[in-house]
Amino acid sequence: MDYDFYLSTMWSVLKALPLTLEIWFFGIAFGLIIATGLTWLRASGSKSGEYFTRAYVFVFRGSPLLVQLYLIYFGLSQFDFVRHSPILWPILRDPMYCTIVAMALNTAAYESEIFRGALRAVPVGQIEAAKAFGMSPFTRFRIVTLPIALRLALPAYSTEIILMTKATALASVVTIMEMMGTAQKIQHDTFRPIEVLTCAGVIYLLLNLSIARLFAWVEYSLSPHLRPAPDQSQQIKPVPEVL
Amino acid sequence: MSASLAAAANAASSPDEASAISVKDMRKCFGNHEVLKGISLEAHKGDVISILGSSGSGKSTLLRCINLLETPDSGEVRVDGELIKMKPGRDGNQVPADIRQVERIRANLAMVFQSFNLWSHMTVLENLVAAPTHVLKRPRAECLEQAEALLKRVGIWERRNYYPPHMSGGQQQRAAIARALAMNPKVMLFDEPTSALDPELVGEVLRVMRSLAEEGRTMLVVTHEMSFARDVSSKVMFLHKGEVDCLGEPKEMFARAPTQQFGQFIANFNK
Repeated sequence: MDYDFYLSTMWSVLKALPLTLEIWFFGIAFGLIIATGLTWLRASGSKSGEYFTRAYVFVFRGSPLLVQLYLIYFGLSQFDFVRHSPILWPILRDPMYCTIVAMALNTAAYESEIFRGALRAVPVGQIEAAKAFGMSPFTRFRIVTLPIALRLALPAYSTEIILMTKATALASVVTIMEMMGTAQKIQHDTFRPIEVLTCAGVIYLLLNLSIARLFAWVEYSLSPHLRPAPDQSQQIKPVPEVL
Repeated sequence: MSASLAAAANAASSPDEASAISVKDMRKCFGNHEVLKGISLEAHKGDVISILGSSGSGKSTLLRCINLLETPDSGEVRVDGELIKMKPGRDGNQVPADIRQVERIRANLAMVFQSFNLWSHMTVLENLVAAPTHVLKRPRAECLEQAEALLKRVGIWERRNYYPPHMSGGQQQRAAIARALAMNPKVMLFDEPTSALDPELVGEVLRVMRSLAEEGRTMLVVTHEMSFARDVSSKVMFLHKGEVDCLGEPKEMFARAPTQQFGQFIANFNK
């Protein structure tokens, strides 16, 4: 085995990690904002809001992210008004921004479905109790619905975040030299696909391992009520006959 | 100052100062099924009214219509003399006119549910503090102190830092009663509080409820516990098919059933 080659490849790919993380971070951050808006629109009860979100989810969940990325990067620049727009053009001519926009739009579709499911899974009785104690809709949402729904959404949400980590590799097709782009360049220069792609794969694995561990820790610390009961040896007194 | 103003306002709007809850001609349909066919109910301060009836008689719906967890189709509800304002809704049935008034009144009507409905992501202590701090805006330290005292009273202070799923049904229901007490409610509504419990756990919950009755709290209790209805309550109301079949003093009603329906109902329980 050519350890020197492995090491130098590892180092070259790792130097592209910050760029990968940048795409990843802004993609999921903007995605979360859009998903929150979509979820709110869907839950608001308005018919047009529901149709819009359903159409949105249908389009962005139903087509490949690669197609969406190509359409945004290569497709939109075909329109004159895009090229002459002072707002759109600075964003859409930059491959980095295009990737972030495509990832955010795509993940928002999945996440809004995750959040919708979590909101619907909050036990009705817990919300009813909040109502019966005079909580306003906002307080009810903040104190009861949201904390429970977040815990319910977390497992599926962490899976979506891991999918997005892997999706950052698509940025390489629009000329971005993140980890995958860097790996491909080395591969083309050296014709040693096994070594190079193994290095990239290992880094993605380790990255996703840390993300998965992080989410597992968050989930664990937010759900003490779902863990086994604590020590029951501390006996409690029976209710006295006369209180 | 504000308390005396509120008292004056209540006295002005209510002809009967001792009335805690007054329901007039309440009706409620689910689809084509008429669950409440014009029910009236008068609860004075200190009354413990047991609401009995077989399954489907409308007793839980009646309770849930009083704090507007269900919206009654027609009829009026007064709590402490204050009328809950309603307005005509889109489908012809009435809807609450002022949701803030409803929220304020709900805060005075603490409810205890059949399935406890403790907030599962909070410890017992947090469950007791949540509504007083967020709804009544009382200082947290004061709420915590009261919560601990209430938990001692219902005998689960040792479980104060437990999460509801880690406790037995009886302990959860006692915590739920303490949560209701933490609101210092004017009236307590109990919706079959012992129906989801194992038989050996019913007693501990009933003992807590009995002690509340003995200290003069106003309670409306939907229940299947005949001994509680007979021995603890000051009035018994028997619902049959959405109507008040009979209403009276528990001792007399249980000694000699005023109607045939009630006679059959208690006969089934004595079997």
